[in-house]
Amino acid sequence: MSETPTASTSIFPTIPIPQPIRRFFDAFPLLTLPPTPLPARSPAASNVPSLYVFSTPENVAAGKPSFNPACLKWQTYLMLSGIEFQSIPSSNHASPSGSLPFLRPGAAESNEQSKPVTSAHLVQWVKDHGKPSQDVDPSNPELVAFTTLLDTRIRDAWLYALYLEPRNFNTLAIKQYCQTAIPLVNKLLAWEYRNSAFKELCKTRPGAVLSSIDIYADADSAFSSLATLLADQGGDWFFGAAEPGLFDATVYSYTHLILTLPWDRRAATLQHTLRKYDILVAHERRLHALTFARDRRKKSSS
Amino acid sequence: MPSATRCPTTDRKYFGGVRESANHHTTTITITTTPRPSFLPPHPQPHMLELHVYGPFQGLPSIDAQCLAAIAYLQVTLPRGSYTVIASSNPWLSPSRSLPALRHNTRWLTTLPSIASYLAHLQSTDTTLSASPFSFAGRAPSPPSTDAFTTYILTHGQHLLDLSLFCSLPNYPKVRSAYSTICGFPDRYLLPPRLLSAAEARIRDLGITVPIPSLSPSSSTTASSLDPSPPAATPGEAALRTAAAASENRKTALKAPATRIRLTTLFSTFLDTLESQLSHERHILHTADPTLADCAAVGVLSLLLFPDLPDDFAAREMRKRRRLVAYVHDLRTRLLGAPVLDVLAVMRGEERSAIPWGRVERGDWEWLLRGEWIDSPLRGWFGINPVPEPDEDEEREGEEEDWEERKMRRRARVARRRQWWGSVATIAVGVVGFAGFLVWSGMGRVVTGETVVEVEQGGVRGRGN
Repeated sequence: MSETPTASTSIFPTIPIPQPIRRFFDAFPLLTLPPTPLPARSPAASNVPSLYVFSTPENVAAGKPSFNPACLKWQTYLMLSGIEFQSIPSSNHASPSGSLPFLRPGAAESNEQSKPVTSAHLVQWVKDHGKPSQDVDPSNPELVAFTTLLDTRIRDAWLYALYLEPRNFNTLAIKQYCQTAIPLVNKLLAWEYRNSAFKELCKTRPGAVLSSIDIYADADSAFSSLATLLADQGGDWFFGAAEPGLFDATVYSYTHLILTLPWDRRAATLQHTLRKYDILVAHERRLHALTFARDRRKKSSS
Repeated sequence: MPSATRCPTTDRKYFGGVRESANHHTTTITITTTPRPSFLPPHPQPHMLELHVYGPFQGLPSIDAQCLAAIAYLQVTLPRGSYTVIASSNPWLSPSRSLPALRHNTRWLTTLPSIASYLAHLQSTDTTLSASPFSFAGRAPSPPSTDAFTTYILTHGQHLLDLSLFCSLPNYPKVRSAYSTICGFPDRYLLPPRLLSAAEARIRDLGITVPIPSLSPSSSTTASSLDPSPPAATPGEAALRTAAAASENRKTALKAPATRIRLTTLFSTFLDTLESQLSHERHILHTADPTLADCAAVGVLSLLLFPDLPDDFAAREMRKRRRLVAYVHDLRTRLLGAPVLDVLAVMRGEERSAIPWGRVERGDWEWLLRGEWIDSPLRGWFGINPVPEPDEDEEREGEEEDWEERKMRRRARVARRRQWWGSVATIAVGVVGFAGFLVWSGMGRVVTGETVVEVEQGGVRGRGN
């Protein structure tokens, strides 16, 4: 104990410490407790990777998709890549990056590889672990442009329809996202969600004036471009691919939720808009049959 | 200010603008179908479109990418003389509080996609608007990826513009002073900080710390720390000097390379995507004529390339890509006209270039004090002449002027006078009615606290009966 790490910090000169004082500090810690066990409800380490998503325990048990587009996109993509995983209902507070989804690799992975994977790194992780896919070249300008179209126009319309249409917000979003045991916290969460959706929309609208007509019209033209793209390429999937890829999963994550959520009848403009494009509805059906519907069939048969 | 209250002034401007444009472009007049004596001035065109934009910046017609794109799109799709571009630089004009905004009679279109779709709608109903300098004129179906590329260019290009114009420490003062030249009084101080904070919010989302210190090699802090020491310095002195400079700017010096790498990645992702999409074609979607995506591209790329800024990292990144630079130069000369030299001439609507500039109605104190925003009956009260007298020139010009128009003017004057008397009568009736009510309810007697309750109760009872 005599060569204590005082020498390692070069800023302070080494001062000889009187023996009684050194002995006193050496006595600490007086008692070291064993590590606290994890709460009983914490998930057991499983061999299957776990994807943390916005969902309810019942939905996860029934193998139903998440109600959040970002989570649903990755759920779908993992399924398409043939990766066995389990979905776990969670909230943003659990994520290392502050937003869902994130993936915890299975216990079988080596120590270095068992770190949580955030959504930004999921593509690489899937490439390392899933079956080799023939996805479109990610630097294809058309793919990049259409991805932006989804991330801006359709996402804006989705945010507006869900959070800023009061009818939908009260019947859908509050039930999905603001379900803690404390009513006051729920109120606060609801305010926070609405406010952040509003701020998100204002980022591209410098006047901070949101016009539902413009937002829905933009989404309509985006859907129409997507429908034309799919029709022009002639195949079942976008960009003429033989198998659905990440872009199909992204489109599906919006179209599935827009088509299936129980929107308020008086505020279902987005759903009516999408219903006009049969080819996108058919695309959603095909992809659903290939992922969640098949998964459920498998579960019920086993 | 609601648009309706501005009508008297803008109507006048409409009139002048149409006449002027008709003189220049007689072809548009011959298309009008109504037979009309030749000595009469042409009908006020029903389709006088006004595009309100932010004013010029360093030779470009506008400081804002979307405004540039809108100007270019109107140049592409509409015949000359059917619209004016007004560098009002006043976002409060538009219902969405943002520019560009296209005004057509009482209708306002405030985003680039909505402007484009409205113009397509107009052209499908009116053939006079279809005679554009470009053959496609909105009739040929634009490729399905137009929307996608327009959105891509405007969204990602905006990030680069945020970086080079607002978030860069050396560049922002220049941009701010440009805004203060073009904006009206209160806005010249309020608008730039608002735009800055919006830009910073967008950039922070990308994970880049703002503001960004100077990145140009000549003035960067890392470079200054590596400056050669004076010749007389011993090696020890030189080392001390370097160490001192390094520790002084350690934080910035450590951060600068990382920031530079992030920025280079951002720029090359965007510009390389565009360049590979362009390949060796003349337009971005490989069409014969420019599309909306080309207009968006010329808006964003010319703001990256042309302005002369203290820290020119955006222009340097652009110049690395020869094909894109050639593409921007080509589009700029075709769609944005000659460089704008006199900003004030543009605001007065006197600049003569390919872009039909209109006179700016400034929304500042001077404009407020002139009282043109006040409705005509109210203006009567303030003693400001409510009847916009026709210009002297106009009177002289049309000596044997059409009796039709004179009759209309007289009728309008009578209507205005009637309106004035109407409002006077309304106010008089209101005042008399209120006085009557006071007497009837007994409130006239109410002076001090105690009686108030009784009187009010009495009033209530009285009304109940």
